[in-house]
Amino acid sequence: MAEENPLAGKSRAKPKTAGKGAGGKHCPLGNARALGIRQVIDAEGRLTGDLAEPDLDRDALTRLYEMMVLVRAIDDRGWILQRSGRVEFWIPHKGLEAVHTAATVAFEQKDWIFLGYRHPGTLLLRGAPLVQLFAQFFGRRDEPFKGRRLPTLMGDRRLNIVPMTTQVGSYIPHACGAAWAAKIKGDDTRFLTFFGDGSTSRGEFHSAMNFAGVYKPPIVFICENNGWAVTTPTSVQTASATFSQKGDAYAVRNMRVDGNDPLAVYAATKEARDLAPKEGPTLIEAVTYRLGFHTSSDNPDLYREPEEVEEWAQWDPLDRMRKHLELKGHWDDKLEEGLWARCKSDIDDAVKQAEAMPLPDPASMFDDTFEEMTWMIEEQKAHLLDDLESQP
Amino acid sequence: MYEFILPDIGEGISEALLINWSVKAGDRVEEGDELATISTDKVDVELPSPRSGVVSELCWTPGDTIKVGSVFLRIDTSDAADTAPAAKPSKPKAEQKSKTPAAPATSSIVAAPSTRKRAQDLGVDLGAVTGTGPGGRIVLRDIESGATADGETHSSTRHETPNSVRKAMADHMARSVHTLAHSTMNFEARADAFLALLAKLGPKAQARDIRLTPTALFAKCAGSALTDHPRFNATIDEDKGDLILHESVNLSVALASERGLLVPVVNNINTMSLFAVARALSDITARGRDGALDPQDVRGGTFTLSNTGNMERATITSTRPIINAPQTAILWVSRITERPRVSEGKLEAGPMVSCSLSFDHRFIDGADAVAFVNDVAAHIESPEQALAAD
Repeated sequence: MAEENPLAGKSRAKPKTAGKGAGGKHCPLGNARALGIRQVIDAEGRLTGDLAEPDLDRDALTRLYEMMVLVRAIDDRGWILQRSGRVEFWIPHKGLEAVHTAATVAFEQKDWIFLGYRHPGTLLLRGAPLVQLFAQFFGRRDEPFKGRRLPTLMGDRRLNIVPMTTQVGSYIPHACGAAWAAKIKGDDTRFLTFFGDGSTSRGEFHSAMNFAGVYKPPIVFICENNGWAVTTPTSVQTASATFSQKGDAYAVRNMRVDGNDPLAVYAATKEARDLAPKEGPTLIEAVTYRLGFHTSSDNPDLYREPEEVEEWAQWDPLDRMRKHLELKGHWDDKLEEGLWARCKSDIDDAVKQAEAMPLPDPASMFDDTFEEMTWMIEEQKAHLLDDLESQP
Repeated sequence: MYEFILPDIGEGISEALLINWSVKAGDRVEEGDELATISTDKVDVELPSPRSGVVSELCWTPGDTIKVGSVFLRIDTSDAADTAPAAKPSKPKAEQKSKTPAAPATSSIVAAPSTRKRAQDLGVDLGAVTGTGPGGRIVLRDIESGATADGETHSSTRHETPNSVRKAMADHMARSVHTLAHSTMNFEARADAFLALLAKLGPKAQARDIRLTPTALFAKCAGSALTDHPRFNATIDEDKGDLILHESVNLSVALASERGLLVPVVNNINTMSLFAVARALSDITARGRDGALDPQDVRGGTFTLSNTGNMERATITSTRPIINAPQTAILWVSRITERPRVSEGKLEAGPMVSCSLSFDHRFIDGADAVAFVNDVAAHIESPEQALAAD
């Protein structure tokens, strides 16, 4: 992969972005090169970045784009389902489609992924049916978690995907430890984990980084820096200039990429995965932005400016990837229209099927806690059943 | 028929204020179409429709505070491709247990295991303890305050010293009841046109930043009737025994506040537009709740309106309101609810409001009251007429 000093970019023709988003007050992507944010494509989908174009054929590129659109369509629908009371809770992922889909594609099916929030594409790319995701959103009995987890906190052991622990960052050492175990056992499984900018303020992140620096397990840490840890902006999250540079302290290879550029994420992740057996861990900071609410319980109008969202929306990963495909002659309006129609109708079917599935029996929520139920859980269960009995 | 239950859209929201409807009864909606804007303590949100179909009933009027879990609106999904309803988990068989109802002493007790353990240690019978925790849950303090050294329980009492607002109100109420010759007339009115008018004007009011409430429209209905029945818009000079008739309608509005019942006054509602009344009501109730009323805000009322609609969960069908002396009458109105009624010989369901008018029989005859009630009911049933009257 051709590496250049990001600061040497000035010697090349300055990428022309027609002023769109360039040099923005809030969004750094228009000024990526100077900020050391590695890019393959610009806002218009042109190959102007300092990272070499990854080796992905037409099929691979369109599949990646199709998945990003499906992920966006799931968010559109999920939001409506939550607001109309059909799904209890929603964690939006609008604007964050590129990082997790491209990184998942850069890994192999046998590898293990420790998920963060907002990553439905990872499951779908590994073959989980759409209805399984919606059954999880609706809390239905026959999904992998038996209807007990917060909607959108997904995972599937059969697909080597560890669900996110709601306590952010707490699972980074687990991922790191699992990777070390694979290294000790001598198998060629590699590991990927996602977490947010806020997670880097937790002790677990630092423990895992230190461990990774010393033992060199085959793992790629992706810090999705989406600008906001719920209501906390990056400016008060850390005094470091970047999140990636935190890797320097632990001797963990690190880099910063444009998280709204799926090709840059793919290139960086693929390279990190390839290097993992020999060189060990990589910390990738993917600079991206949460366009939506933190969760359905949030109100971002209270803490961020609408101009900030508007500026980032000009760097929408879907638009950039579509324009790139169009420039390559792989895509047109007709394909675009057909894709959205297909996504919507697939989602319609999944919603219908999932919503018709049975809810878990309330008594079942006490299962799977201890091998044998303790007296306290027995008592709670009896109370719940009494309460349900006494309700009309 | 699909009942849209107001969801907890924000993880711990218990109620929401209806700002406005984006649809009306009879409108065709597709799943995801915007139905209404509501305001919660976290955020103002647009609620999308959970189903495709035809809106058959809007269950609330803008300005209402709605509890999460209440039916928000109904959608007729019969002609739409309805998605399958959620399969309910099979309930534990009712027959099995219904033969012997569990002893109430054990089944109705809600207490944490640690509380139960403590009760056992202290020898307290949980069945005899009244819980003060959330939803009547028995908490540690209930056990510990009720237990004596020998394990006996005793009842405790608490003294409440009324604050100044409460004391003034107590004197005022007692004097009114002991001096005036209270007589009360209860009646009902159909609220179809009333609700339709609110729904029609609600968004316009909203656009001007005005909260159009049922109380504002009730005020205009009463105000219009009062202009034609001056004895109800009067005050009594007890020393002289005179009845003083007023030309302007200065409406006293009963307002529940943290500090007790307040009755601020909106002057000249007979010459004000509906929106102006709504604005004045919002302003004065806000100041009342904030404890920011001036003395002149509570003086000079000529008639009192009490609308408990916003607080009602039960259907209250009549009350016996106490006249706000020296006034001569008071009107109470209920929440508007769907009730059975007869139209052209047929039993049907429709929105109804209950009203109770108390009047001072020393100055007003029953026949006067009937005439006044006739007009109030007519105005509620055709509110446009009440608005046109001024």
